[in-house]
Amino acid sequence: MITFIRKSLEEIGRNQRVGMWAWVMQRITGVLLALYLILHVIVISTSQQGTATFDWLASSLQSPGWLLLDVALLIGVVFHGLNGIRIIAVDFGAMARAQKAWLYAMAAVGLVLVAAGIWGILPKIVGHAL
Amino acid sequence: MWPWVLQRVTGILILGLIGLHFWVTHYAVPSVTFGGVVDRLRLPIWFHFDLALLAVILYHALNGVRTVVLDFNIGRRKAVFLDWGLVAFGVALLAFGSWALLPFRH
Repeated sequence: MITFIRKSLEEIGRNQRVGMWAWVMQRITGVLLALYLILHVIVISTSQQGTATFDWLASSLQSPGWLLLDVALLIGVVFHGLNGIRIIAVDFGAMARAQKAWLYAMAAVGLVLVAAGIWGILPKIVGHAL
Repeated sequence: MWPWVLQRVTGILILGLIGLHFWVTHYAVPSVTFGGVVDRLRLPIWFHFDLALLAVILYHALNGVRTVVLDFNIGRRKAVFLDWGLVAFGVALLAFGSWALLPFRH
């Protein structure tokens, strides 16, 4: 496994193509999102401890630190989702030549979605500080 | 072949479902509260929506983890063990998630 990781890193170093990075990041964000899914279900399961516990946890997760992690989560989800669309488009072959064009188009859409998310979250972070 | 196709089908499906889920939990209501979830899950379709979303995402997530692990060439015996382990984990988390939603329905 160490050898695999080392070889992968060498491969990335040799061909500095964005597609390779996208492939690696798709896997890293995928594994992280799978771990988040487990955490998300555990958080929701505090419903079994009663209304007060659930509401206390829900409001605790509105602190600036957690909201910043929400931004990280949003970036991870948006990247994984949009890069997924690009992968499917490339899989259909017709898009193979336009692979990089897809990447930049997705980057543009992604930036808009992440900006919209931050626009929603920022007032909560600022409101907490005031 | 089929896991490959289903990973793409569930991926596209999740884009739409998660967008809707995000909207109803963070835009349709001011903040996440126990009472707010009760109000939403009062309609059975939302209860089933949440369970379906969890099931579809679990398939996508665990099949994704399987793909990543299999790329490390773990061998056939370990691969079979991995498959059944992931199925068991998926069923367990779906059951746990369903259990977590029950208090909102009483």
